[in-house]
Amino acid sequence: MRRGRVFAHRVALLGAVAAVSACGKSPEARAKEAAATLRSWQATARLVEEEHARGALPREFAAQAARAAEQGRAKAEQQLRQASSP
Amino acid sequence: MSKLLEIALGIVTGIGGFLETGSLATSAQAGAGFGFQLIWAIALGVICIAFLVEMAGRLAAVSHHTLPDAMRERFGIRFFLAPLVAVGLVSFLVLAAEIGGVALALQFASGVSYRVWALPAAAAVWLLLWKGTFGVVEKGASLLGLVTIAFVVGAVRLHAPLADVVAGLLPTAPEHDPARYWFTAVSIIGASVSPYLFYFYSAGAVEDEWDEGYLGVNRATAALGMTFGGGIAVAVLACAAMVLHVRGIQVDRYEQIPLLLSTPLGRAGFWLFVASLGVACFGAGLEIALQLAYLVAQGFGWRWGENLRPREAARFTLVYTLALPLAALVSVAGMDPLKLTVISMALTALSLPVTVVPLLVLMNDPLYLGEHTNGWISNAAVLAVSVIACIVALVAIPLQLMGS
Repeated sequence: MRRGRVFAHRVALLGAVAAVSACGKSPEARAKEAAATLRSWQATARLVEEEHARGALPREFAAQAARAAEQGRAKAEQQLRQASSP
Repeated sequence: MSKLLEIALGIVTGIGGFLETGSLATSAQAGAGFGFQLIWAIALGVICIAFLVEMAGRLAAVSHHTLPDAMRERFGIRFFLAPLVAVGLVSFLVLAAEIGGVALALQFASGVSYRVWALPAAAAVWLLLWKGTFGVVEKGASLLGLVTIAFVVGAVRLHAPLADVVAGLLPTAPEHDPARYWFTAVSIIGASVSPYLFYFYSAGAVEDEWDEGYLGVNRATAALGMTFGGGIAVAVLACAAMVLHVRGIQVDRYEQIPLLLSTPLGRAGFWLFVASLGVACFGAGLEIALQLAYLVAQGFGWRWGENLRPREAARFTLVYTLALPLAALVSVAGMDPLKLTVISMALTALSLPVTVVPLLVLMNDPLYLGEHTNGWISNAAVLAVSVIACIVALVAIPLQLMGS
């Protein structure tokens, strides 16, 4: 009974260690992720502009979405700079 | 004839009531991030929730017990506290996400921040619960929810390839970003298998005074309503794959999601999206607030019933009266609505064994079900999905949280 409990604790500890160690992303991985997010926000801004231009989005919402894209882009650029700096 | 009408109404309710902020956001994220690859997660969730809803209805029809009532009676109050806390906590988080969804729909329509709309949205939900009857809450909100069929129209207009949709039903390994892939998968399962759905359904069956004569209606409603409802979630995913994935756009904010319908349907699509988000979240908000009150009142043996006047079931009424403003405060505080939604869905998946296993024990007890106990297929299907979702959630949630 006691041995079973010790085994269960060890398995749980191993799982936690594996999870935490897997979370430490390399700078390259972080930079790649930030670049993908940046491209995503740039594409969002383009699509919002196109949709607004053809009248598919009301002006009020197009402004909200453009603002969100701008904030997302700025955040991704900052993350990219942090990941690229030594 | 009346049974056929009941089945038709039940299916319509299932379709209109399936989509809410959780399934909308997670399906959109899945389609944008991974194309059609995660359709299997929706299918798995739909199979599981169809079984669970059928079980909850069967328990109510045969034993005339609601789920919390039967759990407390069968396992005792001390054991019952575990599912009470787990279901109560995840339901509260999901309620906060739904109120946030209504507030966001109002923001998209008006330009005024969702933080301003959160409390009025909660007040509107409360008012309808205070004044309305169970029929109004259940059928009214779900019928309005049929507006979400717009996503099916959108997917058809976008010519979503059927072969890719069918191929997505088979689970495949992710080609990139495995942590996000599995986190999205468990969030989708959590959104589909929200405990509030089957707890609410069991209370509704007792409110509607079901007996064994309703077992056929129950089976048809659960299977067809959930399957068609899941079809709308697949349509959301398909729209996201066709509009966002092909342009390399991932969903990080709610402001990106209206593009799913404005692209294929123009300005009308934008307003259909706003209506879908607002109505679906409002309907889900009504059901979850009511389910929280059912859970606590039935669990502690208080008088309960949406068809009673508030003063006739004062403590029951007090639960949703307190839960709604508290849930709205999460949005007022400025918590990101998309993060709140996705995290609450993943936590729902994590809590599944706690909420599902006691139900399975009850469903195999002849004292409650007589000759209508579960077969091995439903036991195995529900247990397997719940345990797998919980294990994947245990690994994916810390990875995703720490990674982001």
